[in-house]
Amino acid sequence: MRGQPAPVGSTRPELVRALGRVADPAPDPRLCGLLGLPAPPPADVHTQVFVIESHPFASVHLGSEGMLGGEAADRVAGFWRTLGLDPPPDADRLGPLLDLYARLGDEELGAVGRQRHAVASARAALFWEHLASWLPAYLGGVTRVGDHFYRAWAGLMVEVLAAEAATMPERGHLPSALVLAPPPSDAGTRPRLLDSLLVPVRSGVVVTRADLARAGRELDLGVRLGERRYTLSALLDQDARPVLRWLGRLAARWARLHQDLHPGGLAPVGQWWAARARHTAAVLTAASATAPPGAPPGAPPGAPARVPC
Amino acid sequence: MRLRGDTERLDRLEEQLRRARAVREAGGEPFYPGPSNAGLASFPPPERWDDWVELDSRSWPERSERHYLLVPTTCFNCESACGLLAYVDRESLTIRKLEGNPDHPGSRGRNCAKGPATINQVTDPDRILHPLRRAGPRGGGRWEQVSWDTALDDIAGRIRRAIEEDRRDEIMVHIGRPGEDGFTERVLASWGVDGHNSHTNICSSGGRTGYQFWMGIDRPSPDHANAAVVYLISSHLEAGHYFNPHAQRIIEARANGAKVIVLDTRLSNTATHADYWLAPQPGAEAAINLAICHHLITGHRYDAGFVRRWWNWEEYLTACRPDLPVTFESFHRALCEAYQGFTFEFAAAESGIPADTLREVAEVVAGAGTRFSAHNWRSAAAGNLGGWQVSRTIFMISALLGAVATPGGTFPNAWNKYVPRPIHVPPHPDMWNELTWPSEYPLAQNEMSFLLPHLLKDGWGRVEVYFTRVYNPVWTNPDGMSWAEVLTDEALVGCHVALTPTWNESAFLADYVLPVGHSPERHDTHSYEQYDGQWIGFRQPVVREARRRLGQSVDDTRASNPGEVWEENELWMELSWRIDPDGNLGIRRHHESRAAPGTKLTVEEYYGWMFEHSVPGLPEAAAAEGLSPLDYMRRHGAFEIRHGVGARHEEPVPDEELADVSIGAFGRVYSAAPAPVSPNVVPTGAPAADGDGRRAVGVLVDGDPAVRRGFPTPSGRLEFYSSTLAAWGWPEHAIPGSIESHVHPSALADDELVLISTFRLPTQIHTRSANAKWLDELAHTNPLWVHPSDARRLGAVGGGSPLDTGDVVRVETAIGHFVTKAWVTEGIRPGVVACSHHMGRWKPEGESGGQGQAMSTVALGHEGDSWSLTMRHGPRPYRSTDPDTARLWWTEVGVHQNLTFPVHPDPISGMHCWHQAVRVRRAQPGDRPGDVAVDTARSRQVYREWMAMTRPARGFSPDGDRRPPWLMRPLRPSAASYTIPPDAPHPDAPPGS
Repeated sequence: MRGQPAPVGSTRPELVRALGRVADPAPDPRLCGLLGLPAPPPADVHTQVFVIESHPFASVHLGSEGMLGGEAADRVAGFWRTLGLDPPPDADRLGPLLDLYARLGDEELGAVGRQRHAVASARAALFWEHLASWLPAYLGGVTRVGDHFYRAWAGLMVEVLAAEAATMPERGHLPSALVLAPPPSDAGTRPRLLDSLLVPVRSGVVVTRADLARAGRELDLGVRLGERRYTLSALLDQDARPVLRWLGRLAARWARLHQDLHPGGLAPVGQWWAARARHTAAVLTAASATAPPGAPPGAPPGAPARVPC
Repeated sequence: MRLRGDTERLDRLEEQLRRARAVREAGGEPFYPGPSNAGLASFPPPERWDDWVELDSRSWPERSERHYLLVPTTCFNCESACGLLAYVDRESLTIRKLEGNPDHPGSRGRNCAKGPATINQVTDPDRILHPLRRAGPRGGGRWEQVSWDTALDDIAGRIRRAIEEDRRDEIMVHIGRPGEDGFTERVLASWGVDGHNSHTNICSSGGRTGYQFWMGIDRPSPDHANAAVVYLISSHLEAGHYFNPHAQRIIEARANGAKVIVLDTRLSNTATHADYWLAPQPGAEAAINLAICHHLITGHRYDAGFVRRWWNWEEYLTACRPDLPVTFESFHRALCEAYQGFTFEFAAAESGIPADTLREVAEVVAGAGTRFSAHNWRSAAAGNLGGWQVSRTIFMISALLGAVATPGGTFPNAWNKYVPRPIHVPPHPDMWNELTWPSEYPLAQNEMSFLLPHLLKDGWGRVEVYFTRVYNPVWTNPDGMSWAEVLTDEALVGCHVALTPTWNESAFLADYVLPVGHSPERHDTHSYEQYDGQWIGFRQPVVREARRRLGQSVDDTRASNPGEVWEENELWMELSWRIDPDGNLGIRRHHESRAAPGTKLTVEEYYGWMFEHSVPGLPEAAAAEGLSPLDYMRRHGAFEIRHGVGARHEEPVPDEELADVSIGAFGRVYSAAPAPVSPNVVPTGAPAADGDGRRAVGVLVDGDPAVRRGFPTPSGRLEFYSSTLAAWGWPEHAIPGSIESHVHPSALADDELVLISTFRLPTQIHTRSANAKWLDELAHTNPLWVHPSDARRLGAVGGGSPLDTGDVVRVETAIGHFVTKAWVTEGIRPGVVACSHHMGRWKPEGESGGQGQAMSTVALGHEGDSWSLTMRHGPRPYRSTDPDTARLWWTEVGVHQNLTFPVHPDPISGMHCWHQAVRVRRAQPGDRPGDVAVDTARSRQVYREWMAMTRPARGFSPDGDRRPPWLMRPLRPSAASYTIPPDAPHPDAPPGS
């Protein structure tokens, strides 16, 4: 944080806070109305979007394993501690992060002089390092799996992020989590491909359960229920070539999507994510070209892998 | 995605939200409902507790809404008093489930398995719903339903006659699960009866004793969350059985980098999470503690400033080392000399743990500084002769480090506990009950409850009315068959009244079985030491409160409870009025309304007065929400009075408390000013006044001119040296030490092993949770833990193969044997076997009551002094109002091992020393798991052997008192009652009396 210029212009803490609360289960219809959002859907839609498909945690999107916790979560918790705050157990979750951002925004509006500059610097660091670094990618996932309510919410969220970014001075570097990110997708073996493809920060793609189900439907393959790695592995077992090709197209779409998700001041971050997605698309396309043809009809599920990945 | 990029629109939204928020909050309503950081740990926000909507799971796939009133209460299973939130169906006014109360400062919404399982206990198809009276001989198994009036009139009449005929020592209430702090004691005090009996001397007295001799307060309050090192000597305590609030704070400490050290012979849940698991030979724990102390002392790794300021080292040097000048340097030298034998090598030889490991652990401890939280409760302190030295030596480590009442240290519990002064406080009863406080045990920490059968048989008295209150002495105590013998003898026990929500082995031997409520069916307040703060929790009958919120009036909790289940507060008030209907005995006035004199006190007035007058800050917090203090507690279920109490011993005594001051030896300060009336009546030691009647008010320390509050000990300091022990016949134990256990290897025959029997399972609680089907499904057996090396050795007897898991074994104790299955595991130290508490529930053939889910049916054999339980069959599926009882799949419920244990009263603490020397062999032909055989004549011999170790007040009292008056006592009699009367000794007094 030290040495960074403070942001300029007004912030919108109440708007950020309200958008965070709307992401909680059973959002208040009155609040949704004030935000110009449609009526909220039943609670099971929230569960589908936030619990099953797309997980609103920095660590899931920036961590080297694409899972909760770990170094990525520690980095966020460390930021809380730097501010002299006890990090909550889910410090890297969307809600607490937006609340923290709003709180700093409130403090900034009430402060003067050096104090205001210090708070503004903290808010800018939070925004750049712990929100801008992953939140647009997460919101991209929501737009793919959400209903019209959550798509509208995600759209508004991206607008607000872009507007907040416009108040920040230009940064000369990417967020640390991206600078220190693990290597991109790797198709050397199947486990390595699976390891990298399902980790957003490596692949640039948020592969959801819904994506895999859609792949199965469109390719006329059986979708075996389980965690995503198991489901994807089963799809590859059945016919790797079209599955890899399908995933390659998905990655290419994500590369384009990242540009939409990172307008204005977020563009450097979007370019980084898009590059990862493009790389993944290329890796998958190449792998599909070398994969052997599909299994004969009636081959038992779970047969040995016949693809080089 | 199409972005509009319209910042003006965003600014309008921001402004719109700000305005709406301001308007709403100006009206006193939250703009953002619910916790701001709901996430994965969400709770229903309090503002929605009057109408919380959930989908009915049983209607799936139909989306059927259920509307609930959420009513807080506190759990009644273990002592932690965690907050619960009852989901009361607004339509049917039934409890649908119980979850955690996020407003509770201790448990913070997090519960162990036993909290939510309360719903099983509420809906238990076998529970007792109506008052019952035996319909044949006591123990005959036949019952008739009677009215509460019939039962209470009979019981009250017996009590009244006993009081009028000055047979007040024939009235006794024996407590299992404590309810509200001091409530039952005050009821008995109002009757003028010294009749309180507790289970504490089979539970925590050993641990309490060591703490009390140090600090005048008998429980520790470790601030685990802020510790750098957490040091535990506990088989179960922090594992979830008992102090779930501690467990969650240890988890926090670990997340912050704290090291956890666990001394436990058995691999407990806690030990599995430890950085250091030390599995010592049972009885070696104090030696390990002292080796660590020795390391701290000789390496000058202790906080000399704290020790100089707060230990009574000058008193020690004066009394024990007159050869040395009274300087701190001398004291350091004396400490080195006193503990020079406690080397790591000595501790290693005693414990079987390598000296290098002990040294490494000692270094970790030394590095903790004042962030050293330590806890010993039950476990080794409850297992061994002299076990009270385990807690005394663990506290010595804290006291050396200066980790007393520091962040991350250990506090006296009374500083982290709040007991509100009630509306009436009756005077101390003017009598002394030798059945509970025999003068053979003048220093006993609590009532000598487990000796009652022997004292009755020896003719020390009889009991006309004996209440067992949520207590099961036949099952829980050692030597249960001696209890069965006296409870079936009407000459010794005139009327046994079992107050219990559920059937138990002792209730089968009652004259009356009176149903009292579970946690959502009764009132109590609670407060426990769970962090550096003070809180009170409010247990309440939740349906009664739900009806009140809906505008209905309920004046009697029975009207809102299942069947005729009652709460105890109303029951005791009603019984007291029936004992003294005209007020002539002076009892009734303690149970009368202040607002309407001459009428009976109600629970509303009782708690309304308490919360209004005795809980600082509560009236203001309630007013801020537009509520009365009582309604605040009804709504939130808990209130935090203070956070961060800190080092109370350092607080200066206010000038108004200092009048006509005298300074005693070693700086003890006495004052003629009366003690201010405190709204907090938490029990502590009560140091004696000076010769002129001035009360002990504080202490001068280390040349500091201010009078500090100090500790409630005779010296006002932490008592490294106990003048009490020295004066009452135990000078050899006047400073912390190590006492050789009755199961020390030198006391064991070659073929004997040590049996550990005290450990608990995190999902059960004594015998009370046996009516919770979820918990029974999780844990329902207690096999014998055997190390593989012992399994090989035991199996090799007679040339056999090693014992294997599932093999049936016979475990022989000093008075009998029990039969169980082996579980071969490396989770136990070689040479030690273990068998858990909770299990082995049974009912005799022919008994009509009982619990179908957790009790075996046995043939109860009795001939002379020989008793036997012969297993007939385990639980079986059965039809009831709960369809799940037809799905029971477990067929064994373990063995009732406590029946085969003789009493082992520690001569100082009075604690029953649970560890047993046993022989284990393969089962004999005809043995079945669950079988038990006991010889009560042999148990009498063992009782006498242990009684011979005592140093009775008659003979050792330095001043003619029965007991040092400063020591804590749950129900304290009048000062005059402490004097030993000049009458003859007891008729059948054992040797040593």
